[in-house]
Amino acid sequence: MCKYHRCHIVPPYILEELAKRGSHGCKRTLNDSHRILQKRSTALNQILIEDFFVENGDRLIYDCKNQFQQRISLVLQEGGSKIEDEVANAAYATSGFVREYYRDTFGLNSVNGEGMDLVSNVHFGLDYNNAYWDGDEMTYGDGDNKDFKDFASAIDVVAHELTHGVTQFLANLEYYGQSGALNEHFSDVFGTIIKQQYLNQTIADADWLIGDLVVTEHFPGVAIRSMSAPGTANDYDRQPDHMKNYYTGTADNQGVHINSGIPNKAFYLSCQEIGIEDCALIWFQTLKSLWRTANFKDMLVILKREGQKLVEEKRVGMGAVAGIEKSFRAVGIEVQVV
Amino acid sequence: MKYQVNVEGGFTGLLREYSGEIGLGSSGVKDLLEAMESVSGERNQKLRDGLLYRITLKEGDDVYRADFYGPHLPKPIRDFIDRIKE
Repeated sequence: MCKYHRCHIVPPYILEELAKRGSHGCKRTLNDSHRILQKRSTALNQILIEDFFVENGDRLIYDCKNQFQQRISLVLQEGGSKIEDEVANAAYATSGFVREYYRDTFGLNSVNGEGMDLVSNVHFGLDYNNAYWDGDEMTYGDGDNKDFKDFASAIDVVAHELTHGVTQFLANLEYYGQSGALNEHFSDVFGTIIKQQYLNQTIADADWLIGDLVVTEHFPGVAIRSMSAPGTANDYDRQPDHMKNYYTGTADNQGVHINSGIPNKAFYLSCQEIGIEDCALIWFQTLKSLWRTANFKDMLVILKREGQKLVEEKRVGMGAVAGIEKSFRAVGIEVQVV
Repeated sequence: MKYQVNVEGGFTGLLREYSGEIGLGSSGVKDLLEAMESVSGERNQKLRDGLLYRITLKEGDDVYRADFYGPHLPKPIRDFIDRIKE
């Protein structure tokens, strides 16, 4: 058994091995240690400048007024009425939908489970073709209106970014190599699940595209990524859909947005095998059990373990584990039973 | 001045490359090189989907290289990239 206070003197590699063997205490210690170090360095300042407060998962929308600076003007907050700015209204509505999905489906209170406020920055920069999560809040550009447009209004983009927050607090997957590709994968998985719920679609109706609403008609493609057919969403899309085409270069933090195509395809196939609701539950339970340096094979091991638990609890169908194994085998990921 | 700018990552994950030669004038070169030196070396470890700008400048025999994460891109470099994108 791993007691939290004893884990402080245990080297990280031992914590990782114990986490892989199912020690939730060690996993939590490992994941928390980086956050604690950063918090310590700023704790004194925060004590000096802030009164103690409890957060309620409130939405706060800031207008960056097309400057490269966050939190310039608070324009909408929880319970507020719609304003003239449709982008701010959309960011408020979509972040609320994502918050409610996590609360209603998994009982998760905001991204950190403790009611962290959801801060969105809209109209960031000028012609800014991006959206990102910075560890505390979301930031969205308006796009250049040549290739991209309005990142804050697209439900899958907002769900993708907020899920980076969820991942940070549950598994804290390192943003590099395979663990980074898994980090991106979970954001695409819950981005697409939430998009389908938002649009009230079945898996047969869905387009399985990520970012289709943020590309313009001039963009050479239909979306940023495709879950069902990685590598086909646009002329620049080089996502592989099988381990034999795994990207080994150094760009993009060793391909975090590239190699995520492989588990993305496995997720799509799993949904065809066992349904998206069972997949959502198994993937969420897996995210709770993964650790900072987990790779693709580690993920499959944990998917099978968590899937089997849920089968035994009769929360997912009997064929869940076999369906997931088959789907991962199809993209070249297998784990041997010793 | 010769330049090579690679923009990686971001939500879109699309790699953008810009290379060529540009005349900036002595004060423009000075501002740009000072901005290149302003890189702190620190990065936000929690940044997800942030853009990474990898910049190489060659002025005469001198080569200057620096990497910047999107939110921390100095204004002279942002202005320079806007100019070479046009």
